[in-house]
Order: sequence, then C-alpha cells, then structure tokens
Amino acid sequence: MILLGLILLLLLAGIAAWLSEAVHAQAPKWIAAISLCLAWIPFIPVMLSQEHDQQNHAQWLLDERHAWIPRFHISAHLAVDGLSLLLVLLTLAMGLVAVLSAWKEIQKQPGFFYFNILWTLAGVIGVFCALDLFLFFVCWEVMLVPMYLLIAIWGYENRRYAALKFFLFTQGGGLLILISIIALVLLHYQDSGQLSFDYLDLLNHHLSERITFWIMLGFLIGFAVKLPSLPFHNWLPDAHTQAPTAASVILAAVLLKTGGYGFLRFVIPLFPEAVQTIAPYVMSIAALSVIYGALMAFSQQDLKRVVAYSSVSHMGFVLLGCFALTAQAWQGAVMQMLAHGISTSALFALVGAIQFRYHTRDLNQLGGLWQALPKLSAVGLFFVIASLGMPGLGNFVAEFLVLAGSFRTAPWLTALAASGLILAAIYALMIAQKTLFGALRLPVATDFDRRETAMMLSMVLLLIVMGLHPQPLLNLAQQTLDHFPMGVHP
Amino acid sequence: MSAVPDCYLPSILITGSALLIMLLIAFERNHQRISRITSLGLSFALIAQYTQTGQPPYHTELLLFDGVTMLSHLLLILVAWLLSFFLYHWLQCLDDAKEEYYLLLLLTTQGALVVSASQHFAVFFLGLELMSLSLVPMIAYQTVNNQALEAGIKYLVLSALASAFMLLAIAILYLESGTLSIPDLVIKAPNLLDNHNFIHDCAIILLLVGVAFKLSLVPCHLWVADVFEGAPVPTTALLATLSKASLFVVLLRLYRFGEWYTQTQLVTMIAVIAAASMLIGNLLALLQKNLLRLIAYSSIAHFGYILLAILALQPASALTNITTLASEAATMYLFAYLLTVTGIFLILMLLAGTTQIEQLTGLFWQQRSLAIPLILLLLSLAGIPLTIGFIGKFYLTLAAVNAQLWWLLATLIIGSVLGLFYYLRIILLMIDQPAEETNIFVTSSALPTLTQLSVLGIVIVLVIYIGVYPSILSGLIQEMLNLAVNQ
Repeated sequence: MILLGLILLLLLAGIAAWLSEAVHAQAPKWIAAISLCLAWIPFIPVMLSQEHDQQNHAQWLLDERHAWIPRFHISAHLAVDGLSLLLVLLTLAMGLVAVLSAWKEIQKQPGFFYFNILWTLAGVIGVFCALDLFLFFVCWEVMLVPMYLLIAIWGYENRRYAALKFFLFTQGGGLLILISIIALVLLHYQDSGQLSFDYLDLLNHHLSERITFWIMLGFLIGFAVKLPSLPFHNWLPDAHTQAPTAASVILAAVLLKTGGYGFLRFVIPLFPEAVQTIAPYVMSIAALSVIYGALMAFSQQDLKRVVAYSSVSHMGFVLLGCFALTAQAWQGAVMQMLAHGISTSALFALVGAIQFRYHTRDLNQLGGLWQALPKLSAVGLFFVIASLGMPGLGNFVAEFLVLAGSFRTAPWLTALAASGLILAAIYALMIAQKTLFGALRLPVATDFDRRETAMMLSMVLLLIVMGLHPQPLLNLAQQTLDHFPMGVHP
Repeated sequence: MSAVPDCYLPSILITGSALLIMLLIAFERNHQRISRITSLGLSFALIAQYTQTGQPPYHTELLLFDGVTMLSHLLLILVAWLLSFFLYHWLQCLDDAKEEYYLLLLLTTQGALVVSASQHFAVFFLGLELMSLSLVPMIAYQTVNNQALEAGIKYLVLSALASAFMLLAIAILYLESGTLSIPDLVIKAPNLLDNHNFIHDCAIILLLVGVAFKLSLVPCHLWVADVFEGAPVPTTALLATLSKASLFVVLLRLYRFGEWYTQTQLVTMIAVIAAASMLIGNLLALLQKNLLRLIAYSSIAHFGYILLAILALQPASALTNITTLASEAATMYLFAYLLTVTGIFLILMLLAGTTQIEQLTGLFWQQRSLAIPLILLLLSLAGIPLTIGFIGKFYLTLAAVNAQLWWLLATLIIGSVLGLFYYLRIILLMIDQPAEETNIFVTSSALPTLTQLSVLGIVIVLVIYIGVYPSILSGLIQEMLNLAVNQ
C-alpha cells in the first residue's frame, strides 16, 4: 500500500491544491511543497535498511500488488529496487525544486498550476515504480497531459506550438510502446498459455522469434523519443524553451530520465539478444547525439535553448552507457541521469531566475551579471562548470564511468563521444562569459533571496557529494544491475 | 409458449411510449408532459434492458438476442435516454411544433434496436428504413432553416440510394442462395464463397457500399460533414451514435456469420476502407474550423479504427486462441466512442450556437463546469489513459496485434497522432486567455439546469470511472460474449 499510497497522496494533494486556490492564493504552493516533503517518509526506512544491510540480495525493496483488471490479468504491481529508488528520490527532490522555483513566478491560476505539477510527478513516480506493463503505459501517458497543460498555459511566447509538438512526439512514441507491449504479452501467452502483463513473468520468458527484434525496436524508439536521442530530439528545444521554469525543471530532471529508465528496466533485460544486434548502431547514434547536441548548444542565442541542447548532448551519454552493455557503463548511465537531473534543473532554475528579473533570455542582451547579482552568478558559474564535467562533481564521475565502460566495447565511438566533453567546455564557458562576465548592460536587480539560496546551495551540495563519494549511489544502482540476465563484466 | 420472452420488453416499452405520445399529440399538445413520458419510457426500457444482462441468448428466425445484441441495445438505449433529457430546452426555443420530435426520437431508437438485433435481411431492411426515414424529418426539423433543409434532402436522397444498393444486394443474395437469413447464407450456399461467382461478389460489394454509406466510411463519406453541419445538434448526435452503431453491429454479424474473413479479396477491400477512413478522416479534420464538421470527420476516422476489430475476427492468423477478443474489442470501442461522443453533443447543446471552434476560446476560464468535461471528453476521443477512450483503444490494439494486422496498426498510429493534433488544438483554444471578456457562451436564459448538469455528470463519471477501473465493463462484456459462444 506504500507506493500506491504515495502516488495517491500526490494525486489527492493536486486536487486539494486546486481547490484551495479559492480559499487563499498562497495555499496551493504550500500544499504542493508539504505533500512533496511528506512523500519522502516511506523511503526513509528503506534507505536506512539499505545502509546497514549490504548483503541483502533481494532485488525488490518494496513490492506490492493490487487487483485491477482481472479480464487481462492486469494488476497494479508496484515495486522499487535500487534503480527505481534513486530515480524516485530524484523526482521528489527535483519536484520540490520545481515548486520552489515557481514560488514567486506563477501568479496566474496558481491552483491549477500546482495541480498539474503534482499530477505530472505522480505519473513519473508511477512510471518508475510500475512493474505491470499496462500500468507502466498508463503512467507514461498520465505524466504527459499535465505537462502539456503546464507548457500550453504558463509557457512563454510560442507556447502553443511547443506544447503541441511535445505531446505529438511523445504520444507517437507512446503508441509504439503500447503496440510493443501488447505484442510481447501475446507472444508470451502463445508460448506459455498464461496471459500476463507482469514484468517479472515476461522477464523469465525467453523470446527467440524474429519478431522480437521488431518489438524491441518499438520500445527502443518510444524511449529514444523521450530521452531524446538524435533523430527524435526535435521537440525538446522548443518544449524546454517555452515551458515555465518549474516545468522545464521537471522536464529536464525527471521526464527525460524515464527514457533512460525504460532502456535499463525494459529494453535491455527483456531482449538481451536483440539488443546485442542493434547495440553498435545505437551507440553510433548516441555518439552523434553527444556531438550534435554540443554543436547546436554552441550556436544558440537563447539561454534556455543552449541548456536544452546541452541536455541532448548529455543524454547521449546515457544512451551510450546503456547500450555499451557493460556494468561500468550502466553505472555511468545511472549516475549521468542523476547528475544531469540535478545540474540541468539547476541551470533551468537559474535561467528562470534571470528571466524573472530581466524578462529576457537573449545571450546578446545579458552580460556582466556578476556585478549586479553576485550570489546568482557564483551559483551559476558552479553549475556551468559542473555541466562541462569538472572532476570532483557528479557529472564527471558519470561521464568517466560511461566512457570507461564503453571503451571496452567500442573504442572508436567512445573516442568520438569523448570529444563531446571538449565541445561541452566550449558552450559552457560561452554561457559563463556572455552572461556573467563583461560589462553590465542591465539594471541592478535583487539578488537571490533566502528561498532561492537554500534551494541552490542544496543542489550544489548534492553534486559535490555525488562527485566525492558516489559509492552509496553506485551500490544502489548495482543492486539492480546484479539482476540483469546477461553476463555482467565486472 | 404464450409468454413473450423478456428480451422484447425494452422494445415494447419504447414502441408503447411512441404510441402513447402519438395519441396524446392528437388530443392535446403539452410539451412538458410528452418530454417526461419520453424520458420515463426510455428509463424503463434502460432498466428492462439492464436486467437482461446475463440472460442466455435467444433467437427467432428474424431476430437474434446474443451478447453483442444485448450490449449494443443497452448502449443504444443509454444514448437515447441521455439525449432525451436535453431535448426540452432546445425544443422550447423553437417556433415549430415540438412534440413530434420525441416521437421521431423513439422511432429512431426502435429502428436502431431492430437493426442491431436482426439476423434476417427482411427485418434488417425494415429496421433500417424505420431509422432512416425517422432521421430525415429530424434533420430538417427547423423548416425555416435552409441549411437544415438542404441537409435533410441530401440525407434523404443519398440514404435512399444506399438503401437501393442494399436492396439490390439482398435480392441477388436471395437469388443465389434462396434465403434471407444471414446465418443460413453460408449453410445454404457454401460453394458461393469458394469459387468466385461474379454476381455474388457484386452483391457483397453493393451491401458493403450501403453499410459504408451509413457508417460514413471512405469513399462513401462525402455526405457526413454537410449533414452534421446542417442538422440540429440533437439529430446530429443521433446520426453519429444510434444510426452508426446499429449498422456496425450488423456489419460485425455479416462478417462473422457470412464468413467474410475467408475471402481474401473482401478482407483486403475492408482493410483498404479502414486505412483510408483513418487517414482521410483525420486529415480532413486536421485544419477544420467548424466544430460539427470536425466531429463528423473524426467520426469517419473512429469508424475506421473500429473496423480493425472486425478485421481482427480472423481465426487463421491469430497469435493466440482468445476467440472472443475481437468482438470484445468492437463492443468496448463502441461503448467508449458512443459514450464520449454523446457527452460532447450534450455539451454542444448547452453551448447553443457554438459552431466554430474559435468560439470556444477561453471557455476554460469562464465556464469551468462545461470546459473541464469537454476537455476530458476530447482526451477520451484521443484515447488518453484514465478515460474510457483509452480502454477502447487498448482493446482495439490488443485485438489487432492478436490478428497481426501490422500495416493497419501503423496507420492507426499515424491516424491517432493526427487525431491528437486537432483535439489538442481545441483544448489549446479553450485554455487560451481571450483578449477581451466579451465572449459569452451561454445566454443567461439558457443556463444549464440541474437535470442537464447531472445527466452530463453521469456521462463524465462513466467515462472516467470505466477509464480508471475498467473491470466492471470488461467483465460484463466478457461474460456476455462468452455466453454466446458457449451456446
């Protein structure tokens, strides 16, 4: 009941936030913040037990099943293992960041705004916990609608176009996933005579037919749209740029991670053979994504677009890590998801803070912010440096692990992807130079207040901890990777 | 056997109410009383139909009451019942005579019930004409409105043409096989299916054209937009729901009993019709500015989707042996589509005078009680989870994957994404802040009454509840369809 209760808590808090608007205009954001803090409670005992008990080999830390649609033997099967736990915690933390970054920005219809935020987060947590493929798909789609509304109502100038594009791309990918799920389930039924949408049943079933390749491809494309990887990345720059700050934070921090999670949870364990066939091609695409994202980021004028394209580049590393098929690279991919989640949401929150103060995101109009807003600029410099992969911070650990892990399987592609790190330095330093340094062209505005400082400093702390002591996180991720069906190289 | 079987009870109640209304009109015209009698009669019919669920199938030479029939009857009566509560206010604003509309509504419902229960061409044709001929005056009900008259004549001429096609087909089939009974066709003339008999093929094609016309499938779809736009909204709702659903049930029956799935040519033809309907319907709706035309085009696409369930009835290429899956999918999708689209028409009746989608701009900020239901219903049409539309689409995909209709599934994806585009376009307009606050949607005299809001509430609760927790309906459908199989 814990996980279902958690999702229901967020859904109900969303409704409460919407209704509370009538009582007081400030009530919705407090409800959202408090419910997101409450959501941590069930995970505290899990984390503590994990800390003490390293020898525990059971994969699922929490596991629950509720009857749902008996006709197709669909149950609401929710469970958490190391990988899901990390991503759920990331979701809750970044959800809080999103709420805090919207604290003053959102004045129009706050109730409905926080309703959408909480429903998106509930959908994302459902995606990370669902072990029933039908439930997974439902959550996959449920997180889209509120996000669409967030972009379409509270977005910037070109919001309608961006929202529509976001929804159509992800929905198209989603339908591919649906068809793949159904084909997989029916093939399983054909072989075993048991109709089941349960992940664990499907996992134990060995598929060898030629059609498996196409099913895998359906999943792969669906998740690649979300990640996003190169040919399907088109929606991301628009969606990120037009979304309000809080939505950008959630989009970058957790929605993109559902794609990477899909690879690690479904594509690789369910289709080990088919994945091996396609891995070299996917890795080439990943390397291209890394370089393309970095080049595009460099040539943008809009600060948010720079960050958005840098996401494409960073998520390329996740794709590379997932399909290198070595334990080290998978570790790296998980770390990259967490580090990118934190550093990129921080950058979006920063851009949001700049936009809130100066009403512009144009790199040519900004400049010299250090003189006007020293606190904001110092934090900004930190996250820019983090995103270019400075040793000692989370992103470095992640990228290093990915590259080290992939080098064994595809040395040339890895070398190509590694050149993305140099390009990252170029665009990251460009952001710093054009916004923080130089002559001040804009009036002085108020610097970070206590809320913003606390939010940013906690993210700084997280990244430093991840960079200096990543072992607890790696242990949690390893706990999932240990159960992967294929031979894991140490 | 003097007792009349229970399965006739709903029809008797509906016909009885129609007769009563006819007599009352002759003596004294009282709009309110007749409106109440209609709703009451349909309520009783609905209850009577609901008590039939779980009954074993019953059939005569002419009529067949199996699981599909019972479920479709339940659905058809439900739709008519929901609509009946919304007629009073709309008719009250008309200058013409009001009471006959209820009579025609009941006759249309009766016609739809007969059509969907028929397993004999004679009674099928009777029901079809009862329905079509009642619909014509309902389309042209406002005789002062030229557009409505035009739509009425269009529907009359084209529907008569379609009927003539079907009649010719029925005559040829009778000539070849010597029977009018649909299940007997295969038994009496089995060789017709094996060697390609030119005349027989013509008959099947003519029949298919007639059905495609009524279901407004491509290429027989040209009438639908004009008639939907010209007809009054309640009639459009009946055209989109009762008329189409009952014909669809017949198509399902023809396909199954006539063993059409054994004929590759015919299967290819229906597959092409399905693909063309999905694509052309959605493309036509894509940039449509008129709301009713948009719904008309989207209904073409939706009946293209649902043809997938019919095509999935092939036992030969099925991945698994879940035999009733295709019929279940067809029934579930029919439920989902009819319920959703009825809800949309109910809202359109409340937003009287709204024809262009621009008129919905900013509705979300001004009329929450109508905008939120409309958004939910549009999402249901688009097949987004937590609505009944998704459950319908899930069933459909399940059946189509089971029958390995890969190309049609690809078309379904393209069609759904196109469809989503224009549903989202409407939603975007609704959540847009209008520039000036002059947009007034409902004149104060026609504010939705409590009855109307609660009827709308029933639809929304059904759409969401079945969407979240579909086992209540999926269990019922499975049980009823398995009853039919086990007999």
